[in-house]
Amino acid sequence: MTLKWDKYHSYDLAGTTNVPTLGNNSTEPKTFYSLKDDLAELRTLGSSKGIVDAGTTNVGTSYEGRDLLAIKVGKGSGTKVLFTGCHHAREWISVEMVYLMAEYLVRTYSDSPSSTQDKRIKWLLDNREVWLVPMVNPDGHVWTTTTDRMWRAGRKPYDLPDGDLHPPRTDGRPPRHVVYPAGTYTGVDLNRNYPTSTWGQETFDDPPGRPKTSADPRDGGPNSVWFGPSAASEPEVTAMSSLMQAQSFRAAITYHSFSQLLLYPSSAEKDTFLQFVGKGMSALIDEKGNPYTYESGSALYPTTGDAMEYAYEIAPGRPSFCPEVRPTQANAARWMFNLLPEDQIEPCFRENVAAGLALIQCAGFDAPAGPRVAPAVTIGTQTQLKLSVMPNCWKVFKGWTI
Amino acid sequence: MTIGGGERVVWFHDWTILPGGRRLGGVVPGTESGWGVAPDPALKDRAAVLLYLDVPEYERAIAGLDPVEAERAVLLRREVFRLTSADVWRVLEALHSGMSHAAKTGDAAAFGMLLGVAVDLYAKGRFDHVDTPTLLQVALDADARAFAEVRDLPLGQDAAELDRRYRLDAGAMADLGRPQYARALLHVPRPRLCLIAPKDEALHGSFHDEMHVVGPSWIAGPWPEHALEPLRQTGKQVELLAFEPSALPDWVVETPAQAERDVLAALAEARADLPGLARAYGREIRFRQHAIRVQLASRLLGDGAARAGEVAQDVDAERTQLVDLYARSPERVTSSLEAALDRARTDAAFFATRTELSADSRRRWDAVLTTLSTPAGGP
Repeated sequence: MTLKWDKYHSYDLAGTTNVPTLGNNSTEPKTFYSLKDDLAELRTLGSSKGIVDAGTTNVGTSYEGRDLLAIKVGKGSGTKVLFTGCHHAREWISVEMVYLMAEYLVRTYSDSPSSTQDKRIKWLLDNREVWLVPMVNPDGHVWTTTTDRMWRAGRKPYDLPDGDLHPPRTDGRPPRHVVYPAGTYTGVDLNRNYPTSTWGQETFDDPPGRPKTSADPRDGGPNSVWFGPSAASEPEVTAMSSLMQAQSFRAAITYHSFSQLLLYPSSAEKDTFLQFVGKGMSALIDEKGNPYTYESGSALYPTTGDAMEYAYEIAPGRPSFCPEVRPTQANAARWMFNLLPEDQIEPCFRENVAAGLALIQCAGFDAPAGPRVAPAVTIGTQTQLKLSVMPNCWKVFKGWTI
Repeated sequence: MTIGGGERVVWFHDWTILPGGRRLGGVVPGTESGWGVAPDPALKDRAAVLLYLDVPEYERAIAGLDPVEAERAVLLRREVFRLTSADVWRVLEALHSGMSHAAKTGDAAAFGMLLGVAVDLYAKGRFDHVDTPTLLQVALDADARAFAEVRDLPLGQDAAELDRRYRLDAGAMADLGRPQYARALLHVPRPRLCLIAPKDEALHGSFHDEMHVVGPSWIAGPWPEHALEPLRQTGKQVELLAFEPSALPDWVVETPAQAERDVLAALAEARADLPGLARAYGREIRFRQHAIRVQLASRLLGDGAARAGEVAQDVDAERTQLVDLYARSPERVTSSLEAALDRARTDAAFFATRTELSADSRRRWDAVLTTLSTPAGGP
């Protein structure tokens, strides 16, 4: 099967434009697919197969008025799963991970599947409802194509007075003193703006590292970690958090780049079911020969207000993950950090697809309440062993090929 | 060794069949493959891999390296060099140099012609796919950056004039129902390219997904301007390498030995002539601001916007200010206007034949060549 994995998607430009080079002192031509057009095409195809709701075209609007483009695939509305990409504008590969999953599901689905894999896809889409939002930050993404290729944040401006803050921090150390001048500030990090219980607390690596979550609007911009003036201040985050509240997703995954990690919420260290699913997804990625490290989000660096933690907070016990896809840290220089070349899109999707499918499947299962084999129980005169075996939800995707 | 323009350093499979070519090195004993110097005409129809766009660039790349390191550098270059992201900058560099010479000698016609070509190369068509408010944001970002830098660096430019320019464009944005930018100056992040020492794990971790280069005892990378002093207070030595990180991508794709050499050279240059570095940077950001505002003026005129005429008039005035700016900025890329023109023409002619560029790019280089070959002030 060939998918649209030979070019990146822009928000709505199908064709070539000159985009800034790294360093922004020059330009280079780049040819894009249009996400808007391609999702529309998938909606039409999926609608004809009866698996896509043609009426769901977006889940909200960005600050600059762009749609947060979405596609809803599958008939199993009792078990909903959320895929998101591009919270960080410069991480173009994350758009593709979500778009390609949508394209793969829609194109593969058949009413009369013949292969085992196709039967599995049919079962998944007959029993799950998958919401895919490939570009949560379209304004930032457009900015990477016009002005700053390394821009990361959203684009909503704030007219702020002089600031003098002592923001709390998660590591228990005394707050730092943040002083900034009045001005118009742009560049809230959408992945620090979710209304988690910890939003508003700064996070740091060990000194002398810069903050990884910051109250200082001067930490907005291309490498933004600014958590914003208030929780869910960004329209994109408001839209996504409202969606998550309204739809009660039973699993969520949000793609980022890079480092080749599969991250789970730091508060889910002892969540048996989530760990079972996560380790399974990790094994499915690793069997493709390009391993990702499976670890807690805080092992990478601590953050507050991020989408993965928010999904887990509002649906405790439900799987929530964040793959940081290609490249590895070791290959970062060769691939210019976040500038993964187009020929890496296909292998990156191939190594992630089975894990994504496993998440969709596992979303339908629940964590066993107790140990794998529960104590004997007596019903009437008969004593029975109550088996509480973990569902085999991810193993069926071993050896998955496309 | 000095070889004139129109010669490139390439990788070629058999140097015995390349007319006028001269092999400099190779890695497979007993074969004629390797890298060397070849004239442009010889490369027109041959599958040679471009490595360096002229011999001086190659010589700079291997300067100070032993033969093993030099070979390693060339092989890495063969893997990472992409003409598609280098061609525009290469010609822009020559055009900036030519503008500087023209401004210094009072050749207004040549300056205007070169500026027109440079503006088109940098910005023409680049914003066609976005709406006017987005283009205005791009312009305001450039305006705010120019104003903030002129105010904070010793650039000797008119901050009041740049403030007025920001407010004019912010007014055009307010006309579109977005008054936020007009109420207070837009803050633009200004990450400075710094050398930070000593390196340690925590410092390295703080760069995580940001581009950086790691040396034996230091890390070179962007650091927010407002966070420089707090970093110094932790005991780190922090020295400026450049006012913006645009040199960093080149260092990232070099061998460690090359990167260390180039970072230390940048450090020496910054220590020796920080004001000169600031002036060159000031010229660069003012050029970008102008190139973007040319597109803005054209868009506003097309939209029939209320302030279109005022912005267009202001863009014209900006050209005059740029002449002064280029006349005062240091120039080391070429020795004269004619040398700059020669280099730009030669490169444009070469790029127009390169199949690794798209047909659109090749046509653009043809057009650039035509403009550069037309006498200034002519038809």
